[in-house]
Amino acid sequence: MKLKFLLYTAIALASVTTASAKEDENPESNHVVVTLADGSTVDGYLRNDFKTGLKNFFSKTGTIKQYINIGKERKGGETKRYSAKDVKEYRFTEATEAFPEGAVFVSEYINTPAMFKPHKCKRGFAQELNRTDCGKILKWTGTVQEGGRNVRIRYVPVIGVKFNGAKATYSLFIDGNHSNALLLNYLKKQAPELKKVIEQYFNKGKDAKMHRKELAENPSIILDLYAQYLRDHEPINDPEEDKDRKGLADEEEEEEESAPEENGDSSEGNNKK
Amino acid sequence: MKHRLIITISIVIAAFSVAIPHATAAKVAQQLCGRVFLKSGETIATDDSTRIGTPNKKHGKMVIIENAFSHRAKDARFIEGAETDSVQLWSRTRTDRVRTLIYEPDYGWCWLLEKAPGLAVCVFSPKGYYLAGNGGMSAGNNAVMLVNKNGEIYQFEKTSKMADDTFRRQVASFVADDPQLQQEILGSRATRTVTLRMLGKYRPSR
Repeated sequence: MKLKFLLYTAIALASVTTASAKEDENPESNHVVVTLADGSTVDGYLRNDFKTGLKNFFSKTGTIKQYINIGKERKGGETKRYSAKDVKEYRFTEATEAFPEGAVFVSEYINTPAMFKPHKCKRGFAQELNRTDCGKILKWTGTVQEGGRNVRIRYVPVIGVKFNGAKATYSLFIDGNHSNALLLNYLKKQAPELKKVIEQYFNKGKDAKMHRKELAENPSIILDLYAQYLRDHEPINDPEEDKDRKGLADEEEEEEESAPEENGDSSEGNNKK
Repeated sequence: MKHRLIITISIVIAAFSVAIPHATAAKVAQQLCGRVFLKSGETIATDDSTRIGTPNKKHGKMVIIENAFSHRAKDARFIEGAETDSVQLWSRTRTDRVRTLIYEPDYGWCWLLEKAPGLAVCVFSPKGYYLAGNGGMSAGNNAVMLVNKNGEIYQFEKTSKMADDTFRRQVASFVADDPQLQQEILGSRATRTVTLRMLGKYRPSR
């Protein structure tokens, strides 16, 4: 147990050290504008600190980031920790060729299925790959279990879709493999017609295999499909959407998220509560 | 007897696989919308069902695929890099963000970032390029930046690093006949990529 704790601490320390070493490359690489849930914005730098690292590491979602630490300056000074519940999105100010308007991480409900709870969701930060009028394509890190007797857990990239009006983001690809069963299961109740359309296009139709190939190259085509569907149908309207921001969060989440949101320790150790 | 049967079946399978090739035999990195401008002056443009198959090798061929993403997909035409002047590509979901690839015989397919009179700035990635659904393009690991000054190619590595004085002086030397831009480059404080992309503002007559 002691050894395990030491190992976790070493990993957390190593990640903090690597991140701070990378910072020297480009001073604007971690400059972000945070849009809070109430609509106000905070201009600052995304900072790594030990406590935020540990909180993310030991959070219930495990791989989905739930806390960020923002400082007014790039190094030193005070920092403030925000939970995913308080933040709408944070956008990097530096535009890149891959993200011409700057990379964006949005705070969204993400489907984290558990045994007998396939539609369990947790709020966390996910990278936005594309956004249209009818939804978003997001990317986050998930886990897969492998092996029989010697079970191994591997971190893998997950790409998913969040339709506007839906409760949460559901996966489309897990580690590059098509996986939309939970999305279809969710749509079965919320939008049966849309479920049929998606199932026919990507799972059952004559060209389904080729359409899946296209989806792998460009996941945004599912948003096009939804836009076409909206021409003749009503949009998804799940009353459970955004429940924690409307004050409807369940007790379990309230307990988890209400405790720690204070000023965090910076990597330089000179910030205050 | 058993061996003879196995051999016969294998020969039949092999013969069929040679005689009836797959409709899309070419392995492509991505199937995208776009236009191919050939050196002969011909232009090949895609429509709703046609796509350009981008090569997954640095000296690979572009492929025009008819009925893309369907069971009737067919490789209609192969285009050698040396035949092309440039290739414009865009994603089906973001048609306003057009990216250009050009072929440099010494390197392979390069992604053109900036073009000015007698100057071109591009990225070369041995592992290819990925055009995302939001219209953003990214290069693989070990990508380098190239500056083509009147046919002479200069290579720059580690382009995400901050540019230092030596680097800025080297870049400014490309635009010695544009003092305004030269001063702008020497006074800049940015990454190597951003500094190199400033060459796109080059106007020799200024």
